[in-house]
Amino acid sequence: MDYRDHYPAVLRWLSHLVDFCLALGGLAIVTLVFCNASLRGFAGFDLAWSLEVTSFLLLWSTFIGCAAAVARGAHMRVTEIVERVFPLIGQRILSIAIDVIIAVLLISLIYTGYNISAHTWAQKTTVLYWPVGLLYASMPVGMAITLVFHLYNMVFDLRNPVVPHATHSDGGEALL
Amino acid sequence: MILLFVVAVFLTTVFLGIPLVWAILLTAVLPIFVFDLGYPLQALFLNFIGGVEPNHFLAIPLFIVAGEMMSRGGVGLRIIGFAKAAFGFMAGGLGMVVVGASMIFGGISGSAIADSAAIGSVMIKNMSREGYNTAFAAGLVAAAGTIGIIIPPSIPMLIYGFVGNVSVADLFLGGMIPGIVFGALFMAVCYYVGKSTNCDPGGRTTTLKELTSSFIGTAPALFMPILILGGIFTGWVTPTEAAALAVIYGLFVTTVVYRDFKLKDLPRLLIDSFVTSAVVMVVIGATTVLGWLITLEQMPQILVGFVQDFSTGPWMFLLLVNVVLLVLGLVLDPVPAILLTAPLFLPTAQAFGVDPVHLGVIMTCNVAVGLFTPPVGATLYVASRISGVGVLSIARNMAPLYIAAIAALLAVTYIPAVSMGMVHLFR
Repeated sequence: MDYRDHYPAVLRWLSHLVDFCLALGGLAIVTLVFCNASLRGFAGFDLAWSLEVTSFLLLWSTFIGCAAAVARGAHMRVTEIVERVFPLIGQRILSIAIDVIIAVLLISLIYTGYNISAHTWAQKTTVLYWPVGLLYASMPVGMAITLVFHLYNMVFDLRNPVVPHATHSDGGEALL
Repeated sequence: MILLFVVAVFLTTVFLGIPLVWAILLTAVLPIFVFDLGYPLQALFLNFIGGVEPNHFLAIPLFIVAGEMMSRGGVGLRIIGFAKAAFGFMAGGLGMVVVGASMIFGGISGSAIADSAAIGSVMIKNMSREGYNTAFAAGLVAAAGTIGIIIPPSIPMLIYGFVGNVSVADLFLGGMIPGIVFGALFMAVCYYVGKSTNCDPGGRTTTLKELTSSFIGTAPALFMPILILGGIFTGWVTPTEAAALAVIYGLFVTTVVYRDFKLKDLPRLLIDSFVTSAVVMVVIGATTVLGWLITLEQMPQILVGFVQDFSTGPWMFLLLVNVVLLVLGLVLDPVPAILLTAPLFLPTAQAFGVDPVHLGVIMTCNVAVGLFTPPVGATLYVASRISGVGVLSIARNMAPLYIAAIAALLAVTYIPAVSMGMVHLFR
């Protein structure tokens, strides 16, 4: 389910901020790749820095997009089997256990991601001399926002008799 | 032992309903502690970032944006109008319209779900009104929609190409004839149903003027796959640049030519597309983590040895590929199914002399069939939602379509020319 309607003002603001970054990043990616292809095709040269910028944008949009997907309950999952095998109370207990496991995994991703970013901060990218750690910071930052949304979703699930719904995607479109 | 443990943990976590990205990461992390493998988590999770870092993966969000743009607005209706003019006169004509429109729309959207939703929302009601069994109409929409990921551009093929280091241009070429084979067999089923139940005996008339005007109305949308494929095949653009070109062309067609997309809706479209892309990309990242562990523990070599002992030749190996993917397809979506199995199947396929392009097309066709098989079938759910008929009731009325799909799958698997003919012609 889409949790965003149930978020308090601060989380709703955070969700809007994430959406804004995704729209801006998306627009920048489309524009840069298109301009680079056109320049190469028609003017015979391309922008060397654009590869680094688009790599940076891809990483950041992926990991903060992961948080946006958690807020929407949009990550691919298979719940059809549990729905048929477990009674409703069993499904709720299982759902809480899964939420706890995911929270632990997210904390470990944030901690490890922070270390990776800190250790690579001194290394510079080839063209723009940006810190490599800035690229890698996308993971802990994205996972931290994901954890914030996930924890609120978990509290919401505990307070309300909600069981998770299946979400599928064929790679091109998500079916919520 | 580790391989069995990995498979058991993965299946258990997926069946328990843990979202795929976390299920795959757990599958990669748990063996390290259980078997005391001694790999640091930092090395493991560096692969999570590294998995989504390659620049060519930009093609994935860009193709999603292009497909979403063309799926919104009236492109679907125009394609249905053209397909009606082209196929409506035959017995089972309305069913053929569904199949034909799905094939054309698949070449534009690259998504089976978008395909089924766009065609199904108009055609299920139409077919039902004409006397078709509603469950069959919904099943046809679910099955035909999956041609969207076989006919290029196809996101599962793109992902297979990237993870398997296989030419995307060759894969796209390889998908063309199999898409047509699936379509032709589904059309044959429509002809049989229309004739045998007498719900759609044909006989409608289409004038050349109607056919021409509906084609002209659809032509700007039809040019999009030509632009993408032409650009890639001529070497003028890379797949990533072709995707960006498709976005700009799609924006031009929907805002200037068709005028059914407003620029103010662009931020919403970008957000939706990049969220969908993030869902796919983090699964790719997680699979890279699992792939790293699998490679370090030499699991592909173990599997190659096992399969070579078990299989007497490529014939048997390809049968195994089909069975494994059809079973996985019952519960998994196309992208994770391909991401998890491609690194395992590719070395074995090469050992048996199977072309990686042929394997990629076979795998895509299998996961496409998985999209309309219960209990987990995304296009089946779309059709169920639109028609109001239960998933299992739809599946029960799909027997002829399943038979047609299996026949097409066997042709793609055992007649290499079906997928490799176009590749050899243009290579």
